[in-house]
Amino acid sequence: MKLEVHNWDLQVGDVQITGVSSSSLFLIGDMEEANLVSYYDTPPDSYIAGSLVPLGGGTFQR
Amino acid sequence: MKKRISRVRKVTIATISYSSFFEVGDASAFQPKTNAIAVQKSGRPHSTDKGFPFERYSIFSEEVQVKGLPLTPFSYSSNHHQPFIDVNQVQVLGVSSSSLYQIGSLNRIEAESRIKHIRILSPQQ
Repeated sequence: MKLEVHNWDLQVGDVQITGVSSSSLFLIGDMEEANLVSYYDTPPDSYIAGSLVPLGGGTFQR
Repeated sequence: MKKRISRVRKVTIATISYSSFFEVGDASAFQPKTNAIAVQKSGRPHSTDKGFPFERYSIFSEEVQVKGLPLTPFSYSSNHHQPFIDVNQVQVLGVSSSSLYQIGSLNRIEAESRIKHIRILSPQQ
């Protein structure tokens, strides 16, 4: 296989990023090799955002 | 491989933390590693509280083989018709946990982060 890349004019305006996190990469430039590994272990509780509100005013038991 | 020159007019970064880097310029290799245990415990600290050694959790010792895609033999050539990469402005809030924000060229990056969350709740919760 023959791969021939032609990079012409590259101009970017404004970039806004909230986070580059857990083995991540934000690169303005040329690179050859990237190997990014992330292990993450979180209990299921943390996926619940906000509180549980019972419907109909009854009591809610976890 | 020939590398271009990166030009950024303005950069704003709020936070860089935990084995992370902001690099202006070229680099050969970057190999950061983060191990983190984040513990949330309800109630007050107690004298019987024990630490949380990394050895106790397998996530920090497991070796998962990350295999790259099988390489097909190929010839590669890149032609830069313009020697610059121009960016006007970059705003980043946070760079964290073995991450990299670089303006410039890089040969190789091998980053690893292992993060374990622990939540200890009192019975009524």
